[in-house]
Amino acid sequence: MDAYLPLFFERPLLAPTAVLAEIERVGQAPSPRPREEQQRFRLWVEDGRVQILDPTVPHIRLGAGEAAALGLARQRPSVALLVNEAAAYLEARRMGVIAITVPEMVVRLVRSGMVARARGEAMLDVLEDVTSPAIIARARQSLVEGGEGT
Amino acid sequence: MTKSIRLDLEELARVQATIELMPGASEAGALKHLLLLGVAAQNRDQIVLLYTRDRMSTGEIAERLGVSRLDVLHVLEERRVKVLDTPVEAFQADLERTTLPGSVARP
Repeated sequence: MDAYLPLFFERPLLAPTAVLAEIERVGQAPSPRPREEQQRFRLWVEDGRVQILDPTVPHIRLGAGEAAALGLARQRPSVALLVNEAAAYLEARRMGVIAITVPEMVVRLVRSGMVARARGEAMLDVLEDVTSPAIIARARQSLVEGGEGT
Repeated sequence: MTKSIRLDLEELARVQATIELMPGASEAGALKHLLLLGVAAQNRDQIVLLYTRDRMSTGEIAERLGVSRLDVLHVLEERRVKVLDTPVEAFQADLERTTLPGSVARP
């Protein structure tokens, strides 16, 4: 799903150094081979599709990357924060930050026509193990209601 | 650094039986390998516990255990822990947002 993000947003994606460090850390052990998402992120940083930007980090009970990303979104009201877990999502909402969860992003990609409905369904299949059934059901319903793609 | 531990006879027999099934490994090498496997298994259990019981975020857990956040997410996925158990009402409200900042598409 993340491969579509630079297409969906007309501005560069923003990421703090702490998030970059989290991504760079992947693959150090047990396998030193960089993962696909890691290589993709490196490419995006190099070609400018991802801009590294550091905020003043709020004092909250989250990891360094999550806190930095939330701090960045908080300082820039015209920025939306993509999150993949409930804790960061709820904290973002509490702070008045626009937070997008991965299932929402899938629905929006399908609605935009960038992703076919069948592909969106497959993305939701992957998310099923880590997402509450109610959210998945609502997302699937949204894909049907959207009526775009096949 | 060298550490020594004491095993009772039953524990020793189990360890030796396991090492015998690891051809080519020295006893010290096999013990180190088994120890690291045990640490990884313990970390996987801890990740689930810290997330579900202590409600820690994945980033916080990663820092606490000295692993990557994506590795934490992968363990939670493997154990089918719902990391996106956000309120469905909030999800519905999110879907009804007319647009997202900076997006090229309109919903």
